[in-house]
Amino acid sequence: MAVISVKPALGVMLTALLSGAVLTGPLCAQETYPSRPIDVIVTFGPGGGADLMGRKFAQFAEPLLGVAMPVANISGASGNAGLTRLLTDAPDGHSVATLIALSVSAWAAGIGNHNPDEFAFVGMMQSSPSMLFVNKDSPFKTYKDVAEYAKANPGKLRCATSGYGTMDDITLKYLGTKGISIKNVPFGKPAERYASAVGGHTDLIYEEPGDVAQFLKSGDLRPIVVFDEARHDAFKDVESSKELGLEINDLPNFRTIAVAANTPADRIATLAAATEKVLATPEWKEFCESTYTCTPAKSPEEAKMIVKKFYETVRGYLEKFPTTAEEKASSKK
Amino acid sequence: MSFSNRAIRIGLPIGSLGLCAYLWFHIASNNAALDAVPNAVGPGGWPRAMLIGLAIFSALTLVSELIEWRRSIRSGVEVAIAAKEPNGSQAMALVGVAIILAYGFSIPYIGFAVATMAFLATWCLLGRVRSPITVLSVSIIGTIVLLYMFVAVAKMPLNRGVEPFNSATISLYRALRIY
Amino acid sequence: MDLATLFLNGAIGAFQPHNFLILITGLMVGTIAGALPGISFVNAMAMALPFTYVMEPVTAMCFLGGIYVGGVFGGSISSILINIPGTPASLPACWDGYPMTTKGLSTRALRIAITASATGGFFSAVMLAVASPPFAAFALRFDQPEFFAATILGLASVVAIAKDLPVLSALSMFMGLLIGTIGIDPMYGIPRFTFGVSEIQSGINFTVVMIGLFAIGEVVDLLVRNVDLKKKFAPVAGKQISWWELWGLRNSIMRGTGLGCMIGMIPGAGATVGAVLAYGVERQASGRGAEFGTGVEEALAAPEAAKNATTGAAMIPLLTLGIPGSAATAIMLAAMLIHGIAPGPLLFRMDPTLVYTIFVSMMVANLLMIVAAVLVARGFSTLMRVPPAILGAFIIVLSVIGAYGVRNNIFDVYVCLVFGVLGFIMKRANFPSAPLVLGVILGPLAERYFLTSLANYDDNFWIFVQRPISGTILALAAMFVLWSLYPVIKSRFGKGAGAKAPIGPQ
Repeated sequence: MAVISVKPALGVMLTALLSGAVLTGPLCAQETYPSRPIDVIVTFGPGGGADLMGRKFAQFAEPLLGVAMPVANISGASGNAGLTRLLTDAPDGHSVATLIALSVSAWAAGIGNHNPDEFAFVGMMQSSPSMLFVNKDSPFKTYKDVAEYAKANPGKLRCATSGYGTMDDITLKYLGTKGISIKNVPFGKPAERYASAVGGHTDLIYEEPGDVAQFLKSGDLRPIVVFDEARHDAFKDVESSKELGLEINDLPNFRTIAVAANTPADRIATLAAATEKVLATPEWKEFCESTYTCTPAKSPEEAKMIVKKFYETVRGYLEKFPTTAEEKASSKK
Repeated sequence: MSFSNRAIRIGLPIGSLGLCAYLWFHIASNNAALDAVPNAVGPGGWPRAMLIGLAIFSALTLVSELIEWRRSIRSGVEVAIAAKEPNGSQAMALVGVAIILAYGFSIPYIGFAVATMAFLATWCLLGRVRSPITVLSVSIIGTIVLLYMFVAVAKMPLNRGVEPFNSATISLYRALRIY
Repeated sequence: MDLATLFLNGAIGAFQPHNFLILITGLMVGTIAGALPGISFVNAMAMALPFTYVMEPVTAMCFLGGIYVGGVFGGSISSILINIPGTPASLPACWDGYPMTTKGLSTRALRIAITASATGGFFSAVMLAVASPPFAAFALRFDQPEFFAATILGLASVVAIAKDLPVLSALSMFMGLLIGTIGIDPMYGIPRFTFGVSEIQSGINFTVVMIGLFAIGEVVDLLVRNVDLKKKFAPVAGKQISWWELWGLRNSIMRGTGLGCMIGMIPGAGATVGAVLAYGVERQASGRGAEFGTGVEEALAAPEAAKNATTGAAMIPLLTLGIPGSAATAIMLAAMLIHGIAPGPLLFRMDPTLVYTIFVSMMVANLLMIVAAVLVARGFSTLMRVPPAILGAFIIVLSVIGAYGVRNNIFDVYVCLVFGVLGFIMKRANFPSAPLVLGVILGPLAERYFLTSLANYDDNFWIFVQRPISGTILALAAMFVLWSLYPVIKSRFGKGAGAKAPIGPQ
């Protein structure tokens, strides 16, 4: 059997390779970047907004960087499981991760021991304001209808959200201070949240438009207010919170691509240049328009400023509107 | 051998009762936070219900096991439960479990490739496969096939280990044209 | 366009050579991945996702649909042959499929499983094709209380499968339910039972628990016993099963199919709940309940049919509403979104050819699955000739890869190993471990549905019985438990002197 005679030879070859590798190891670090596949860590499971962004990014950046960019979903703890993995990998630019607003607001709420300074942001890929939507059969046509009903019937309106202590919760609590009392109904899974609003089991849903795009296009959900400084280009007839006199316009849903902060500066620059090119492609433009998330390219420094400011903003809001749990817990301490 | 089975079957419910009592006070690091929520149940309600359920059924199991023990002592025969002890040695099983644990826990340190190669060889030796050619070919060719399947094709980010195993694994991947 | 034209267009699409070939490839990949202990079809679909970028959307869906259909069945191959479930939904296949193997009837068991799965899957695909819109409208009437009730029905079936050990099974189930509460709670963000270990915050994944409990204990036994697996597969006279004998199982298969089609639409754990529930119902309905667990053919056929019958049903909410209910359908959604296709009511209007091609492909996939499954099963039977030590070593490595692949996290490997040790102890003490896995699967769902229901209905605890659909499901669950416990209670009070529980009613 020829096969058998080959096997010991293989073994010898491998041992030689392994011992050789230990000696040449440090030399490898000096070579050109990128020299091997770049792992794209998507910090949420397949099928969501972060997953789609990470996969599109990998798809478009692959030819620009000239290496394979395999995507790995490492989900859990509001994205922090994947971010921890990013930080434990060698900071050599061969691991990048999606880092989105939800994870940053989770840090502010005390989930995950990370902060913006641990990361360098090679690209601000998407950003979109959140909105309130109603079911197509809802009697409410405008934000004013909702506000008047909620004032007359405090706590009667139910809004599907992603949980307590989140941006959704903060917004509802802010509306509460204006006398517009809406009950927070948290859903653990986004799909169930959408189903409840489409099925009419809840009156309102707080979400960014891109994640419910199919329901907007089919008319199952109608937007009634956008929480932003100005109206959204795609929804010209939907009032913005600013023109309604509300001051909760600073909670955008952004999605970035991040690396560890101690990655060599030239590698960050290489990645940032690649993301800028990706953002300029017509394919990306088409993608971000279909998800209502187009945002102008930012430098790593600008992106970091945005993330830091967002982190501070959420912390400020959480101090102003503590979840009842935190409030009571701290008073008992 | 029947003693150890009896011990497990009685020890398990006692242990789970104790665990329930301990966990009741350690649901969250700050138990006060559990009840201070706007809703009727809150984050503590469900785990508490499960703890109560577990405690009830642990107690029921304990009682029924004790009754059965008494019955078996009375009739003088250790029945039923002792029947199915595999005829291999207990020590061998424990060594096997230990090797599996060592394999899993070593992956982040020495990397998937090296750990797997070592594990495949050890397990063969433990399982009385002693021909060096078989052992070597199983571990080396097996590892290479697995690497092609899961690292090259499926693109799984399997751990490469700490230095120097990290660069060793990278060199191995390069030699195999995976990178 | 009328329905016939739509189906014709769909058939033309599905039988395009490249779509058809990729469908077969998907089936093979799925069946093999499902059959490998540790590697689940969800792993396989996630790994296949990048390959679909370059395909046409239709082709991509054929590929993933093939993996899904093949993988849901494939898990039963390893259940039947080596007593290690390839996926949670294949747990019931261990209970009566593996005993058949130990009697030398592995080929017969595989034939039954393949036929039942293909039948269940095919009817479910037909339902998907002809009744999607009305079923979707019906599914939308389900709110959180209904989902909660369905989860309770799944937990109730644990009692029904428990044979004569309901207390021990309930103990095991509550352990699983408790394990399911570990981690950050889904609504308030408070970490529970984490004791400061940040990795536990993400919770304990049920696939990881299942791999640990079943694979590691079995492999250690394989090592210790060092038996020759070849002997187990020694052909026994008359092991081939005739079409006539398969026809004799039609009632079990139809019961399983019906249950699977209904349960499949429940988000979260459709296939597993469907299979376990079908096993429990079959135990009562077949009239041979007392023999279950010893290699009863009805007990293998019903859950197999139910398991694959959930595949088509699970795609109804995905295609008609754009709402994925499970990990597998979430990956399909990702594949469609990558191509800029948003499933939902609009898709039926904008691109009916795509939708109907998927429908026809799903039907074809379930028929072709018979061929793929026979080939893969034959290959795996051959693998059994490998010395048990070598076979065991690879099962362990695949289990580690599978546990890792769930979330690409090494911590899951540690969890898997810890459960491996627990499973080893439980196996030695004849302590049932399947209820524990079901508890870990259903516990988090039950809690979420329970809390959201209360939040949405003013903390009204009666909402679950007040809403007609959820009330009906809960009543069914209660009846089911009583029906299953009836023989046990009767034997206790009838002072049966330790005799086996009498056969259930009917």
